[in-house]
Amino acid sequence: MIGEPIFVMLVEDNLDHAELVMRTLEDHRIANKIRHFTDGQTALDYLMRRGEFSDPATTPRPHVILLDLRLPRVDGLEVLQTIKEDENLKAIPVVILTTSEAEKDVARAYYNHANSYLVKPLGYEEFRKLMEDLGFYWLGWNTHPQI
Amino acid sequence: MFKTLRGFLSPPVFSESDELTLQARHVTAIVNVVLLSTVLYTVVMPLLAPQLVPRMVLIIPMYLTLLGLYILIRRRKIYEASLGLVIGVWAVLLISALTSGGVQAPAFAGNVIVILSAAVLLNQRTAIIFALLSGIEGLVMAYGVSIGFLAPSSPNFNTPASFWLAEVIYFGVAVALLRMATENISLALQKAQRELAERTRIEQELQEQRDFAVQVMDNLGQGMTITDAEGHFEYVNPAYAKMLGLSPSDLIGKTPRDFTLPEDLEKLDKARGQRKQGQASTYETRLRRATGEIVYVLITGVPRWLNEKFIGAIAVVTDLTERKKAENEQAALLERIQRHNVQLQTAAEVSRAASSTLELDLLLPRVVELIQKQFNYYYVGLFLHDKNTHRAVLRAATGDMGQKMLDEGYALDIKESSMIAWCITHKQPRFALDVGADPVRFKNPYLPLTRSELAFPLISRGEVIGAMTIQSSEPSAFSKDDIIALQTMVEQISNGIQNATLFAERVALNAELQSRNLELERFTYTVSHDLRSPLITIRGFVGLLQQDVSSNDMERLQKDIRRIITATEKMQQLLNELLELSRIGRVTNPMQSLPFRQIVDEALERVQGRIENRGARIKIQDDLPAIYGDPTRLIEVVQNLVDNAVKFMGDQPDPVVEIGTSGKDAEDRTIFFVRDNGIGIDPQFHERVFGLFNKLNINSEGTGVGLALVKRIIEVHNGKIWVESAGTNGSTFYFSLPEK
Repeated sequence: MIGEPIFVMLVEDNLDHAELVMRTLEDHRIANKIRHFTDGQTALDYLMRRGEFSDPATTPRPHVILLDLRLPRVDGLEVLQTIKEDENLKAIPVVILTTSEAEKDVARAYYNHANSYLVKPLGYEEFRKLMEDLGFYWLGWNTHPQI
Repeated sequence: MFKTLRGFLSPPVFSESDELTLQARHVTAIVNVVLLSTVLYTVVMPLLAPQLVPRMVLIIPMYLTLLGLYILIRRRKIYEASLGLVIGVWAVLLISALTSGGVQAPAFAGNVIVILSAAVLLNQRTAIIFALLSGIEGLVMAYGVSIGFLAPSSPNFNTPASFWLAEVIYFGVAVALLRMATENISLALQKAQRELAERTRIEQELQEQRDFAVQVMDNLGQGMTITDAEGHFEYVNPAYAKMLGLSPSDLIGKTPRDFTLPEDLEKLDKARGQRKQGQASTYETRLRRATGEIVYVLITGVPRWLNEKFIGAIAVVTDLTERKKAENEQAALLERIQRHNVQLQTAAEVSRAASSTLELDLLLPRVVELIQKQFNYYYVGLFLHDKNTHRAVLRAATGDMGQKMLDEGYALDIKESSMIAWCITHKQPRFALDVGADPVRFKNPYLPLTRSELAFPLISRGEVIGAMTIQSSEPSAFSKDDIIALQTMVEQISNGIQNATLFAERVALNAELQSRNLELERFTYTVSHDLRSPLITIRGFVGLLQQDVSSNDMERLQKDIRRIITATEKMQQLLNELLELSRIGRVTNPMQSLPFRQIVDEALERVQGRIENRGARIKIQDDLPAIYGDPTRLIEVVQNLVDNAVKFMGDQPDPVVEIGTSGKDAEDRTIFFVRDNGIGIDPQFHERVFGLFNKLNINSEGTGVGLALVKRIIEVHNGKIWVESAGTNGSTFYFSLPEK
């Protein structure tokens, strides 16, 4: 695992939140590479290698996907569903990172085979801590499948 | 011995006939005289003329004849005895005359006795025969003497003495016979007198009987008539005349035909036919009184016959009018009871329907159907009162016509004149027993056969909720009982409608509550999400500020502070809009009617800046109609839609926004539209655009509350909103609003 470049896919429509996530993750120097998508449609196009993302050489598979639920164009849950129904993508761990604490959302996410469900904490310290733990767990301790 | 002889010589008595008794006495007397004469002759003759004794032999048959006569008398053969006497005496005298000188003999003169006897005992004809016989006998004997066949009278035996004797006997007999003749005349006279008395008595009795019969008939309670062979009244009693309102004398010479109803003449003719055949019969018929009323009668007639000839009929006439009247009253009472039964039954069924059916659309058709069917009315309709439009809307009606009216959405303006409108405005029932005469009622072209109508208001909790009309094709079809029964049913129906309305209100309230709950849930969810987002940003970047300070990265510090301010502003805006949204429907401005153009102009003024910035052209339809609503809110609707349209123009070189109308929807609401030629909306998002915070484009301004707000305002106005777009070449937002 050492030496292999770790690639995180972040799907988040709120630019401020994306900035927060990226900066806290960078602080811990966990991810080698973070790629940010602002809507579900573009994220899916990347994963499916459609349109501008059709070259596999420039579109490597992420090791983990951080996915917000409320997204413009294609909703987060739909993105999750599409990934988990795709033979080539379903093995990629998907971590839901959202503001919603609604039980309905949690249930639907797990029902659609989300690998983890995280609620964005309100306080800065908690946010930092979550990102740190997330990094260590998913990007450090976790063994990734070969895709 | 003497007694026996006397009995033998006395005449028999015939109790049955005086004539026979008298004749018996006369014949006996003559026989007795003849016997006496004969005995006298037998005794005296030999003394007076002894030369004649040899001729005495002739006396013997005389005695034998007399004996035979006595026997006949005893045997009561009076006629035979009389005939035998006359013939016997004649024969003896004939022989006597033949043997003693013919006509010159005294015996010949004795024929006078024979003739007189025949007249007394038998009759005049016999007497004439014997008179002729005696004449011929004398002529024959005179001729016999002249030719010498008979010996002429000789003084030898026709002596003066014998002449005297014979003539004395003749005189005596003549006297006796004269007396007998007198007796006969006297007897005949008596008999004639008796017969006359008897006849007078019988005639008197008959008259008395006739008087009695007439008296009985005159005083009889039942009518009696006697008609002749042609059917004319010979007699009618006062009771019969009274039935016809006339006096008996008016009727004599008239016939029953003159008083029988034309429809019943056939019966009369049939009865007359039967009389002529000798048959009696009884039948009911109707007569017309002089004053015009009809009299129901029962007639029993019998024929009258005289010497096998039809001479008319006698009839007994019973007045049935009272009985018929009673029968009719009974029938009417029975019908009333049956009607009452129907009323009760219908009331029960209506009551059951009204209390068990909670759905108006089931209840109303059922009750109108029930009432129409049970009472066999022409039409029953039920209206509900719509207070907003001041109209009575037909909600249930019977028959094909009723269905047609329902299909057409038949309604009456309660400010105009109609039975229903009157009922609703006066809260009182109205009856038109002759529809032509009621000034309020207007003629419904759908129901041409209506002749009488009832209209009842439906009152629930003191308020008129509608009215019911009940119509019949017969005039004055509603009895007092019917009206009372229907009134009761109408009250039941009103209660039923009230219950059903309350139930429907509850169901609607439940549904609304449920949808409100759902909306609230969604609202709290989105609110918590969308309010959290800027908060996370604010707190996150406030934390990062320390990093910036410690790393002395001023540029980043500035950037981060900007992020914090933006997020704060966003939060502020979000809160304001949420507040606004929650106000819609809760805080309402007065609704008013005003031209839509006025709203459009006001809205355009507010987005003037954005329109000019983008260089968009606005096209407004000329003849925009008036709408009814909250002007402030409707301005917001147009403002938001135009704002959106201009906002999503993309790189359109000639941006155009069109505002106009597009016909009407099913509920008669005008459909307005706001059309742009911008980027369009993918069909899959057409529903979602109206959701709270559903921004389709991350880079666009706004909070995502705008279209949710628009939708809410339209819904509060009982309208609908939707979007049409192919995803490119612009989109059109449609919304419907009621004109009034």
